[in-house]
Amino acid sequence: MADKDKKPPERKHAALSRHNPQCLNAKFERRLIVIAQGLQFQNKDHERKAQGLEKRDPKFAARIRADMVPHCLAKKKLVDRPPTDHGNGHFTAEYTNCNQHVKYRIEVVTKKDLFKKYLQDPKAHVVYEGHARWGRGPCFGDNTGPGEQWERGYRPTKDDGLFRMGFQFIGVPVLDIIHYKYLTSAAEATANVKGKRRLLLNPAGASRKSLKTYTLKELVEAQKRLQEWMEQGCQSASYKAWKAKHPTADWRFSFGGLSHVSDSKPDDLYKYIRNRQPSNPSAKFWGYEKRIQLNVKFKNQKTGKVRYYVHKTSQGKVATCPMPYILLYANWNGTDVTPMDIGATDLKCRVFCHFGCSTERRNWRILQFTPTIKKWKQEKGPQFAYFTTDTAYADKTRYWLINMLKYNKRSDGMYLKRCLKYTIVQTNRKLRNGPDKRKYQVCRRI
Amino acid sequence: MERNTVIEKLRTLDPDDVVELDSCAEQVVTDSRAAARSAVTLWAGSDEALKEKARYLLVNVEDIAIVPLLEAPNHPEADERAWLIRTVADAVADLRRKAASKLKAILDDETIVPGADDEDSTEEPAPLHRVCDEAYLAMRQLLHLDETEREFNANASAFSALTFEERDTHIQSARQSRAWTNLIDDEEWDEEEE
Repeated sequence: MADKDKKPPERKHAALSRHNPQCLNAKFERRLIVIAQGLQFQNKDHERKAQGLEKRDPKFAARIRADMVPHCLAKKKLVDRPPTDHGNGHFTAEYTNCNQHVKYRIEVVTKKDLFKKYLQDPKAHVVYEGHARWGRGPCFGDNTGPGEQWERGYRPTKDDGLFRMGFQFIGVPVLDIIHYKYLTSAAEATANVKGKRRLLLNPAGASRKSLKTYTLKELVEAQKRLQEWMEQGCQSASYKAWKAKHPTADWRFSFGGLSHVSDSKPDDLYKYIRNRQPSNPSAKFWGYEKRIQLNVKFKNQKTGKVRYYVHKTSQGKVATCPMPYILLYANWNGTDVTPMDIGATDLKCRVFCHFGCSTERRNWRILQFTPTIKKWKQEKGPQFAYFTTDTAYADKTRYWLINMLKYNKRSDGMYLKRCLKYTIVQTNRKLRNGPDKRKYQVCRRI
Repeated sequence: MERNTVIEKLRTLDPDDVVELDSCAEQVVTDSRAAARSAVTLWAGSDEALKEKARYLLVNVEDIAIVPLLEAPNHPEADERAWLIRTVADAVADLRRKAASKLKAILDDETIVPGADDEDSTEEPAPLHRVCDEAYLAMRQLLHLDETEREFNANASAFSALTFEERDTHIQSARQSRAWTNLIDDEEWDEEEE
């Protein structure tokens, strides 16, 4: 009988199902959903943010707390009992959905080794929420300050740093390196970066034609010019006049935005390029420049409305300045963090969601090359993978999870596909029609 | 569902109650297409006089007839099948012209669309979008039927990464494209006729 022709009996409400004898007697599928929280998006970071906002904006602080995973499920009555905090960022929650014939266990983890373990677990649905690191891959760690955890990690084969699943060469803003202060390897001028399936340029639309070779000194100078230009922008009469009206405004880039530019020293780039040649200052590396404009964001604390000041030249045109990018080695196979890369992982999990920024563009194609995904496709097995199409925020994981648990038809066994379809449609609707009217979508790509 | 009932439902429903909102939406859709569906049933019948009146009605209800006609079973007579697809295509084209007309009006709107509340929590803040940028992307969706969803996403991201000035150049050239001017010219011509 065709999938759609089967109409399982519907029950009205599945919450508090442990009190329902029918639920207890039924043979339910046990489903494990693992939320892997990357560097800077963990519950403790949300909690810290909420504490900071407690006095200034108590409503927003409460919202942040209620929106944490798995706490958001309790708010929607989608837990059998209150979520458990096991310490070290490890949370669990359980929920039985009688209509779906599924007993859910939700685990929140923050360690890279656990992330890998669950990627190899055929029963798990793994959802990564965190930075995409410009396409290099999921990134883990506890310390959100500058340090190695933003790249290789202090314990690269254990619990922190990148889990690489990126293109061989990825264009990253110089600002990212000098702001987060991590050691990295740049693509030397001799490297063949333009080969097929090798290169990812950020942001989207950066042209291959703009690729050039630069000495580190040239990149540092370009970065200095950018920061000086920003400072000049801050001194402009029009900005000062605007700032007087909006005292709480803060600087933002139009993209590539790392807010603490003032702490970043362009000369630090020399320190952080591992494969620089101190004896040969004219050694060149691949890089490019992309023009950006400066925008100042202002949020009215009373009304919550957001306004922008766009910096303009004296002729009234939008002011722009080139932002330097450098190509970094970022391969997914046989990397400096092996076995913590996608090449050394037998991806067996039932569902994998990479909910970092623009992961469809940055990681989907790479996952296509991995032997395990090729196997998925050949076998046409029951595995699924989902990515995002634009800058991603923490809310998509919440929407995803709530919609999956809320689904009120059978979703065990062969019915999972139907449940996932519902989840993706509802999540996208929520993102598009929610209070922030997000432009990006979660999309299925494998 | 009556107009007042819809308003009342929207006033009382919890915004998070997706199940109720979905059922409300489903009801509105069913009700709004009910009359056209009845007309389609008459059109599919054997009474020639009724058939003719049903055809007339279905042509004149414009976009409301699209889905009921598409869901109608295949008509045994070839001329009716041809009429059905012509009617649907005309209604869709008409709808495109209406959308284009709306787009044309907002392609000059340079107001910045406010960003998200929690922008601080992203590594790379979402690029600023003006209303006209969104209109341009909608225009692409309308005109570039050869673009796959993935290509559209890639092009949209590339466009969003441009500065306002660079985006304006794209918008300007799109406005001068033949596909767009044809669509708009049709619309203007229709207006003149009226």
